[in-house]
Amino acid sequence: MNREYLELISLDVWHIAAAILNLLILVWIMKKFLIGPVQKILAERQSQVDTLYSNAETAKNAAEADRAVYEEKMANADKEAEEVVRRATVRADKISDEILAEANRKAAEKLRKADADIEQEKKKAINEIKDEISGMSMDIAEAVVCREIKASDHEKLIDTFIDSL
Amino acid sequence: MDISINGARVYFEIPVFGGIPVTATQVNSILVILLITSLCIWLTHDLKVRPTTKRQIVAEWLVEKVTGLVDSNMGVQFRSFVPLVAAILSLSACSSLLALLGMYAPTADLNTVLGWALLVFALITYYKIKTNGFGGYLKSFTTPIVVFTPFNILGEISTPVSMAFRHFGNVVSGSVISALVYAALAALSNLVFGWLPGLLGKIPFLQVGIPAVLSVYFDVFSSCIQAFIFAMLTMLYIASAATPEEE
Repeated sequence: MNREYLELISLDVWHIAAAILNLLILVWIMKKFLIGPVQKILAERQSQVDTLYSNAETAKNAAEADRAVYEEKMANADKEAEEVVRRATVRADKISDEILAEANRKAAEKLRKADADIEQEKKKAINEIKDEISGMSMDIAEAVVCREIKASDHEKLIDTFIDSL
Repeated sequence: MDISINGARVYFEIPVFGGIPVTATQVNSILVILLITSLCIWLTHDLKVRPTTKRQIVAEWLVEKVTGLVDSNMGVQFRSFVPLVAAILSLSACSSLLALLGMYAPTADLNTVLGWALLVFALITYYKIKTNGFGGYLKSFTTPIVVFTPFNILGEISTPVSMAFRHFGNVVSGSVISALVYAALAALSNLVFGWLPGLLGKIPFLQVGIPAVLSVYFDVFSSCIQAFIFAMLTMLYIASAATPEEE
């Protein structure tokens, strides 16, 4: 064995310096090639996740706002429908009242007119009957006395006769 | 039976400053760094915000684990230490794990771990001075009373020394025990099967299998644990150095 070995415990300033330098180089390498890139990508991912979350939050808020508007509209629609029905009912009631009043009015008018007609017909009939009886009475009297009685002379007599009937 | 346990093999000497020996430690350290670098580049090339590869999941998992370690032991304000902790963990673990391939582990060289420990010590001292001021730093050696000054100085110096020797000792003890077990098994094998004729008697049958069990502990488990301990101590020392001293 002609290989040359160091003692098991041997100190050498240059070897210590080399060890320190090696460690420092590796620190730089770690920073440059492992920690740095990974931290960068982690930070990027974090920021993307943050963005996603804030977007989701925004979308959620917008959806909730939409829902509130929708619910309000739905509530209003119920009210509007009730209003429409109420208005229609009122209008229908009014129209039906009007129709009823008109019908009553027309019926009353017709009744009144009929009454008047009947009264008039009655008077007319009575006058006709009076005239008829008056004519008949004169004819009878003529026949009885066989002479023409002047109407004016016997008017009074005839009326008395009719009234006594 | 001759068992020799040596340090790093010297490949050649750079003929400046009276000759700087270049050993297996330096060569293997550079190999480890190249390995870790290529692994990092492979893991993190083509990263996407929406990961499509397992590669990226692994890369993110590693970074998040180390970041979590730093956050829980040092605090979020020490995020800039994540690369250092990652470097210590990977360099220490991979260096020790080289022993699995039968290569010389750079962490079995005291110079390597002492260098790291001195770097950590420099950071500790920097943060103590930054937090308490230079006067406060000097004054902290006289607590609780002036008589304690020598002990405090000793305690301060012992920090990097203990860190270095803990790591070094664990890795070296593993290889020492492995070497001893190998030698013992060879001897035992010779004793049991030595009567077999010819070449058959020279094959150390008992060396098959048994060292692998030891290797699982000394190389795999111990390597990872020592890397973790070194990184933990680094974080805790620096974090406590950055905390103002209580009066």
